[in-house]
Amino acid sequence: MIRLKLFLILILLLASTLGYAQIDYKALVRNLEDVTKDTNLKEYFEGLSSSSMNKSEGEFKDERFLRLYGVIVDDVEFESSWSGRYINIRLFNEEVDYKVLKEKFTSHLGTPVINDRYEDELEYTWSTQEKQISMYINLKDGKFLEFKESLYIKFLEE
Amino acid sequence: MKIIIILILAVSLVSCSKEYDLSKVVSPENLTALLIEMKEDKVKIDSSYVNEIEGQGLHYKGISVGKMTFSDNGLTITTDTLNYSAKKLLEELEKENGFGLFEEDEYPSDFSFSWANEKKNTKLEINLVDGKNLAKLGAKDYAKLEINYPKQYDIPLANMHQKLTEFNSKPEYELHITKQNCIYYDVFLDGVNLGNGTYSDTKKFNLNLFLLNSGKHEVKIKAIPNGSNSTVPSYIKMLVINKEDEDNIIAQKEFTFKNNQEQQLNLPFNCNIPYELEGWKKGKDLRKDSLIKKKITSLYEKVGRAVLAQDEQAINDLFYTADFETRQSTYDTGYSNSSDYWETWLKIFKSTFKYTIAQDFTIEYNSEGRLIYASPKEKLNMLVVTGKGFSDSFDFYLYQPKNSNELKIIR
Repeated sequence: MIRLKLFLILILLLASTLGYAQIDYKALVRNLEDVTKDTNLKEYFEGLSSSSMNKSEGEFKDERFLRLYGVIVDDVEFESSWSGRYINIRLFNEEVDYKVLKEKFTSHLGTPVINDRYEDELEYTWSTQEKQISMYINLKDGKFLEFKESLYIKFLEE
Repeated sequence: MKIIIILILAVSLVSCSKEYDLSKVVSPENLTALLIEMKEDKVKIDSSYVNEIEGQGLHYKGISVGKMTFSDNGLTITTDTLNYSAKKLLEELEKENGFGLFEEDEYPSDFSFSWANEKKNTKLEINLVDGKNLAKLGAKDYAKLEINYPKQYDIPLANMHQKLTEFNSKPEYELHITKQNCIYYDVFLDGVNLGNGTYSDTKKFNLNLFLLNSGKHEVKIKAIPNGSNSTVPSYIKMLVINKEDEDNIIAQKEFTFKNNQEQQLNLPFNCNIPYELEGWKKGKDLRKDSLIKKKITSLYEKVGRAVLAQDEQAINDLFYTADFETRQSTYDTGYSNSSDYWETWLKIFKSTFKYTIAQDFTIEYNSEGRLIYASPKEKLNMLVVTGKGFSDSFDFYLYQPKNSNELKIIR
């Protein structure tokens, strides 16, 4: 009798799982730290909503699928010119995101150059042979207030 | 005993709170059936402003619905502000329809997603309450789901998109004319008069409409320079470009006038289009047709009478081929345009009280007499339909198939 009940419960669970097979959102998340100067963006964003990718501007804006070292990204915009590829990453104004990104960039790319010329803002620049990352923040009473601009990544030509 | 108690509880629960799953409404007929069922069940409908039902067992696949409003062709569902209803509804709709068209900061909602097809338009608006963004939707965020069912028509004109081909490549050829100190020019493509230029120094002509197949074609212009003794030289330049290929220049020619004589300039070019059209290829040479004026008047009469009689089939038969070729050559394959264009006809039907046809007109013979265009001498248009505060006008390119004695509209 118990075996029969267990069997029925299993059947019910299986049926409900199959009936509610949702989209695997986690599998669709794109980690922007993986993008290089050679990444084919069409292939990179394949499988996601094409309408979120503005073709003319190379912009993707569905934050459900955008992460940078685990930080949720509001919007990402790609630009290409004769001097190479650029990425503008708009972040949500969360202090925790600032701290995570500062820590991650420093551990992956080394110590940043910090421009603290102005009292109420800071500019961080991380540079490697491949890319240069700039992060600007506004301060209030010496603490993070907001991201001043989009995070900016420039891929350097060889 | 236990089983009996469980059964009694179950029956009483079902009878106390009947549930209505709005996800099962997939057509206007379903909606009507649901509303009849609700009326029979004595569900309270507030019709003071809009037809509105609050709560009372409404849900969308188990997602709690706060209220719904409905009309003849659709419904709007607003979820409750609890239990992650916005997140669940978005995920449910993406499961059903795939990813929709995403828009941000659309007042009054924070985000919106839309899906559209021939039979159903769906729009989901998400409003943040305790959520931070789409990746962190909160339990109290709510959603408004609007579903409407476009009216379906049986007439072939309203369903033309089903017959049109959607091509991956959509070359769009255009002629750009730049002039300086020229007073007038006429433009021809393969012998078809496309119009003229006078005042403007630059003008563009869409060529696709009159390109029937790939291969060699020729643009010709007849230009008259400014006859004054101006020191500025008269000059004209023509460019054939493909708009699809970043305005790629296919062919070009420029000419500086040395005297005041009219000049004819020919510009051959090759085009590669994915469609092939019959057009007026098999048309009769009408240059020696003694009845041509009568035939033209008769054709415009037919259109006027069909509009006045609201004869849908006649309008369909008169315009189907011309509209098909026009839409195919301009890659206008969207389903919504088919019903939009048809609804324009329905409005013309409703608004028209009378029609007038120009009786005095000149005839322009194109493509060795196979394609003709009538231009009224005193009026602006060949056919004008009018009603109270309403007016619309029509002029067509016509041809006569070899196996027929009647003219047909082709552009």
